[in-house]
Amino acid sequence: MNKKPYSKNPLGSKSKAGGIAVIVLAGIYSLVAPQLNTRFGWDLPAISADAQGNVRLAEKDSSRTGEPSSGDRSSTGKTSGTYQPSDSSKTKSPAKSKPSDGKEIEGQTDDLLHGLLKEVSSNRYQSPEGLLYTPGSAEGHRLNHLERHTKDMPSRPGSHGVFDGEMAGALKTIDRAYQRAKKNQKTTKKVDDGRTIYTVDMGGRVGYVGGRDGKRRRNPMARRVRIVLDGNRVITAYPM
Amino acid sequence: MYPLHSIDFCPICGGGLCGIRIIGSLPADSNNDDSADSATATASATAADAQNSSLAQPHGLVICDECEAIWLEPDVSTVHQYPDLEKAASPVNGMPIWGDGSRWASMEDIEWLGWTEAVNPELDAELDADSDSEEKLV
Ligand SMILES: [Zn+2]
Repeated sequence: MNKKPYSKNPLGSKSKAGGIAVIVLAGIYSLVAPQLNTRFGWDLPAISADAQGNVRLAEKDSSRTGEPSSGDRSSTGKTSGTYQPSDSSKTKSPAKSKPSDGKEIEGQTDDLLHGLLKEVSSNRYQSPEGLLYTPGSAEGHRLNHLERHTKDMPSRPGSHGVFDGEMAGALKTIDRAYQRAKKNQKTTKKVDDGRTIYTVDMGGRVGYVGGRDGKRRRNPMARRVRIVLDGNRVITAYPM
Repeated sequence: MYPLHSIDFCPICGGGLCGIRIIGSLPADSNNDDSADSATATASATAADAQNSSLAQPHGLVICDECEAIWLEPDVSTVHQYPDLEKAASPVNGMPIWGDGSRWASMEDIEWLGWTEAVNPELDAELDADSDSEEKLV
């Protein structure tokens, strides 16, 4: 990180005065930063002094940045309620990457999961069309459940819809389908005890039909998407 | 992570399997040849049984593995319901339907439940077919 807001030249006759100024500024910053964070939703880093008395920017708390901690990674994600992409190297938008010093670059706190989803609170992700992906399901998180539909399960009984384009493609397709559904474009809608089931004709290929039935039929293309929602929360979605 | 034995396709969402799931551990679970995990689960469930046998009473549910619709009996023409979105619990005793104390039922489980007649064998999982078959055993 190039920005060094508190660095001062330690040499020369002004060093003592400069040191005092740093301490005063640091004190003011310590008092003001939390209030600014609260009021404006910023994420200014805390400061701390090391053993030599040097004032430093503290490392950000990973739980606040949405980055899973190393402890979280050890879990399978199943029933934990924490979404863990199966391949994190492919799932974060380029802006999510960190510089080599491990600190996030200012202005990149609005990174998008899979290039599309904004984390609106812990483990709750919102799509541009307003769909919410939250903890739940046998897999622990709806996104983990959705990942089932990014690859075939050739021996699963019946059909198993598989989206093109892995998670990023699936999420974009679902959002497009929901956009159409809201406009009632080539959409059938069924409501059942709080659940809404949309079936949307996408007008072209969005994936293929896998599973045992799909395999028997030589995996025909899928051009419709079924979305099961509770309000705007996604329960499941798959091509068909 | 799909059911070992199902009774039908889901009449609600169309794409799910209405699988038989057992909540809680059977008294004779040690006969189950699943794995050491199963034995561990049985041991802990036995302790739980001792503490509160009524709450830990094992029972079966039919659950759609896509939309999570739940039937209390092995007949999808009966009334269904949905669990809490984030803390899905059995309508029978409030135990988690996806936690460690539950699993997709084996045939032994289903025999114990007395639901054998409801199983559609054409919807049985093929345990050895997929390379990622461990996914569906939970
Ligand atoms: Zn269903």
